Amino acid sequence: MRLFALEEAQEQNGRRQGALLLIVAAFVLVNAIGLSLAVDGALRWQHLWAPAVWLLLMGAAHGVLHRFKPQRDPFFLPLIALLTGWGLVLIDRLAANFLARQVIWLVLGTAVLLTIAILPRNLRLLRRYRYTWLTGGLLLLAATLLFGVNPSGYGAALWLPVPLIGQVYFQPSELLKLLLIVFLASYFDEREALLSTSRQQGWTGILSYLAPLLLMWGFCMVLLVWQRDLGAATLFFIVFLALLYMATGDGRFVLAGGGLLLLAGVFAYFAFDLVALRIDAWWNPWPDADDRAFQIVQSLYALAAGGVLGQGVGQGFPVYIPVVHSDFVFAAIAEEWGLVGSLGIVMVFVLLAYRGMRLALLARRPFQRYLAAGITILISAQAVLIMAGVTKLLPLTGVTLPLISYGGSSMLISSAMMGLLLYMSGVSEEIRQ
Amino acid sequence: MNSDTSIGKISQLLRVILLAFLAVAFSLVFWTVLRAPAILARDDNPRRVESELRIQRGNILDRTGALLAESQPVGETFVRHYPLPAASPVVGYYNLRYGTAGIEENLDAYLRGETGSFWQAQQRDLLHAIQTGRDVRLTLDADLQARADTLLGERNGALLLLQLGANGEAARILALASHPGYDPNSLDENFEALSSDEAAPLLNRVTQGQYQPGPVLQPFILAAALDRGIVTLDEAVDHANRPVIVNGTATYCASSPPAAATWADVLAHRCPGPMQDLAEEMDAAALRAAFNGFGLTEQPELPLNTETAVSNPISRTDLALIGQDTLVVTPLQVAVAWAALAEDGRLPALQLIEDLQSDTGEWVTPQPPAEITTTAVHPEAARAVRQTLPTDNQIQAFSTLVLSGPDGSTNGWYLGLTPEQDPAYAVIVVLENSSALADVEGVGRGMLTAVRTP
Repeated sequence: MRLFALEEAQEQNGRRQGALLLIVAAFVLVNAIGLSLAVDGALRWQHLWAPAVWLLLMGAAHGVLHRFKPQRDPFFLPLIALLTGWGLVLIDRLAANFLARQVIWLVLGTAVLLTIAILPRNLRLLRRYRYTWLTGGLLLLAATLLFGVNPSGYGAALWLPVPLIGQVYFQPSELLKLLLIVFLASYFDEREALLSTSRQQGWTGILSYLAPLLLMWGFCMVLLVWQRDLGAATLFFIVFLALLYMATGDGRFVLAGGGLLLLAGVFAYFAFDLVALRIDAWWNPWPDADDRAFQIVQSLYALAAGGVLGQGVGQGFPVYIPVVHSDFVFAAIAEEWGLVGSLGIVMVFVLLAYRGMRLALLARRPFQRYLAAGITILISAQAVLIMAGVTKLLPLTGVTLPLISYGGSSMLISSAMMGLLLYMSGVSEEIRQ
Repeated sequence: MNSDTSIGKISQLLRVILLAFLAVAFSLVFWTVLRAPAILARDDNPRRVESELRIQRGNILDRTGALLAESQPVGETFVRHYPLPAASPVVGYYNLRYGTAGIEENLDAYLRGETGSFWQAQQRDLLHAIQTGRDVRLTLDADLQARADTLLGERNGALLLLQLGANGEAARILALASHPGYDPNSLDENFEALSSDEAAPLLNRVTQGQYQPGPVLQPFILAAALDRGIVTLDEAVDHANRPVIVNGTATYCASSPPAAATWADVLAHRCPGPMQDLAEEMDAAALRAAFNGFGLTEQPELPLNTETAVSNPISRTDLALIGQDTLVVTPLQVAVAWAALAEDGRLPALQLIEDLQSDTGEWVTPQPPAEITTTAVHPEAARAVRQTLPTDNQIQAFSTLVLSGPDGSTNGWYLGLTPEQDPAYAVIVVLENSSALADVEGVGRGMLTAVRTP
């Protein structure tokens, strides 16, 4: 009986995932066709080939997961498909010259996602060699200090050229996001009990809190000072604080961490022009609308032009926003799909957060719990930071909108994280059963 | 701890995440809905320019259908083109950087196609349909306009040609030229130079140029005097050619009157001296009434920017009678007064719009200007003054040099009618800093000849 029930549940999972994917596919294809009609007045292959590749990839992913991971969460893949498919339409719309490259990254990302999702024991590998992974990630990051470049020719040199392949760059801080979450999950898994009792142990106990807190803060400051990578530094610290809170349940240290973050922000404001510019542009962009605050002001124009229903795909003017295809893709969504479309994106991330945190709740092993929560918090925080930046709710931090924005490293690492969630969802469901 | 703690905290963290997304949602509503109207209206919003560029404005045509302004497609946008730059005093310009002028300004909403209903506009916005404007047909004649431009040549001045209406109809503007002018096709390159040019090429001298009228007022004052029975044309005048000193400059008759001159000779020879004799019987109030009667103190209604002439109270009647007091006039005002004389004293309305295209593309004659029932003078007085004017080849004219500045500079004025019996066309020409009457007469006669023999 139990076996039949399990098989039925697996079939139901497959049907649900398939049905959701069909809806997503319809949405993406309609928009790709709409873009072609809006831009060229006819159906052109140049606008359809990327969605076709995407459709094949998602179809393959559906088949592979159904075959090898029947107990997975059926919502993750459709949500990933919606974000990546919409992202491809957007990149075609906003920076068509980057489309082929993004498709390649999507192919690689899907391969990584599936590999991680179906390979057994990959969590053990991550956990066992956590120091090696983290050290490797830090070394790569350190290498950007020596060999770092910026593919656009200006701005922070956060990328490393990929050897033997011309014009392809990798951003180590993206990889470090994942490695840091793995490390922290492992760290808190081991120290959970110690941390929870340390409050009763006086200064020694407090130091066991403070030491990693200050170490992490110090690391983020180094990242900020050396690399001017405000986004990554903020994200690392947010994830760390959230996991620390999860492990200890003590809000005071989170408050202290928040205070340190604020302090770092004040320091950065006076120390670095880039940070000062972003904070000034956030506080009051209008006096400098033609110069230093041009990007955020153009973003606000895009939001306003979108209104409730949007201008329609290919029919707005989001390209007035500098680097719209990377940092400001959310503003382009708001202009062409309106409030309805942009709230839709918010809802997709809300669903991802909900399913990810649900996964953490259901996880039986602390490492998986911390890992699922860490990944979910990172993706959510990254989405919130950039969406809040684009809508002038927070200063801009220069992070990408996960799985949508143009960016190979981001696509690859986000896919890897989603692969881990898919892997764990299968495991936790099995355990639950 | 313990796993239970971390499990409990996961729910709290999820709530924090959801709150953060909720804040983003509120921020979205704020910018896309609540603040959107204010943001979109900002001048530095490039979307305003983009949407402007995508409007296919209506054509401006002359009375025969010849193009005076059109929107030419360039990719997804349109560029305004003016095939006859000489028509710029009427057509004006439409420029993204420098705004609008002339018909382009005054019929802007119509040319942009903003005459449809609210729902039509919403539908168009939703479908991103090209906003197509309506065409406008003017009373202007492209050939005559080009001719007027040629006749003025390099001289600064103004020219207005009217087709007089029969049976109380409005007088149609056939040509309206102002020099120096500008080419509306090259405003982007030249606007700064044009706007700082002392010769004021952007000024429409016909509708906005304010001139000292001088003896130009003579036919109107005399018509009013005749109308009120103050003088008769065969009444003798003493010393018709006596000098009048204005700002230290002596002015005389334009040509020598006979020794035993009458008021008819005063008009024919444009003598200033006897005009001042009327001061005894035409006080400031009567003179003011005469000016008002001929429409010299208010601007006629036209879809062009006009300048209301300064109409300060008359300070010295003797100077007002020779047009050297406070009253200054535009050529447009003089044209209306002149047309009133031609139309037996009836003050005509002016017409510049012949037809407007409806939403369905049909031509619709606009509501005719409200008929002006004002009569400047009785028909007899108007005809009597007309008959006194010298006639040559069916053209009746009154031309004079007007002292126009303290340095003794003069403007040449020409007021012409044709044919003499039942005038169908009237022309007003002003040449600035002109000291030879033959110049302005040549321009005026050339214009009337052109309109009679197309």
